[in-house]
Amino acid sequence: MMFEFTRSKTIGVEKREDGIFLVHGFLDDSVYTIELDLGVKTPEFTIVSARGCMKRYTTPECTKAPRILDDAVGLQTGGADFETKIKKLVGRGGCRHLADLFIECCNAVFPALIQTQWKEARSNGISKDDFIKGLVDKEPKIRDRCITYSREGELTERLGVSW
Amino acid sequence: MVQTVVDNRILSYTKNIHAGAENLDNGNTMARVRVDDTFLSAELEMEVKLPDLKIVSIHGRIIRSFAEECKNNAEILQRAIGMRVGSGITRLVKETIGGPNGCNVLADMILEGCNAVIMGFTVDEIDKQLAAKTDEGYEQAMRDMLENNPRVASCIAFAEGNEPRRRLGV
Repeated sequence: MMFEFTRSKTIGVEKREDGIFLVHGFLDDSVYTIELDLGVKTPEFTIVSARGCMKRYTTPECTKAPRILDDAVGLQTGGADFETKIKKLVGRGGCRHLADLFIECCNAVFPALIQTQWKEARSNGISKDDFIKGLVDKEPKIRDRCITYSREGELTERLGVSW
Repeated sequence: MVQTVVDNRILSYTKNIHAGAENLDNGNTMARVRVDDTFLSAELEMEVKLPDLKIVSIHGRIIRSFAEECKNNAEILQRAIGMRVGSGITRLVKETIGGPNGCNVLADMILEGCNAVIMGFTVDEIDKQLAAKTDEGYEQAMRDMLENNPRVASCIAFAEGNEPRRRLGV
């Protein structure tokens, strides 16, 4: 059997000293190759820079798609309608595959922030369970995010967390 | 000058996603998706029946997760059986598989698989369009694509009144 279609997406996030997370995204599939670099300022999660490049595409118009990224600077990531907003702005106004990578890059900032906090907590001898308890206490958007972090979830029950 | 001090630019977080679609001997399509990030590793395969594009089987597992309890969530995938890969699938999957009573990672993986299945149908078409040997052949392929494709205003290439449309008289 051979792949009819294959897509790989790679995201890497680095934290700068000024609280800005730099996100590097790369999408490579049977049809497109796209690169994207985003800057997201925390704790507001505001997009402060966005640059992209269509490296392999289907029409000459596709190369113009990254220009729309200028309009995304200043937006806050997250929120109920964020994906819809980006699909409309970057997808319809530019390229839906670029929008897909853009959303993936934006969604990577919150886990990157958690990872930096976990790294610090672990170096201070805090256990994973205590870290998760603290996280649920101070990050409302973790609560009821999924079945594991739901009010009646196995994890919250085991750790004795409530809200 | 030789740089002697380097900023700490170790990545805080990484994520790798791979999705693929292949045609099976029984005429259906199989999508396979793998996600590996700093916190989690998961895999999924789902069979989509053609031509009605219904998900007829789905299996997956969370291999590594920050919270051990996440590994028990794979059964949630069975809620996707019978769903049709088409209009409305994004909202349906996000509400049924993801959300407070589901798993957002598995929901995103299903959508990634659906995208691979749909894109699998377009690769051949695009391949033919891009295989033109002459400028005239390419222009004709572009004209056909713009004229026959219903996705007007779905992206910059299909925008109404754009440069290729004007030039090709579409």
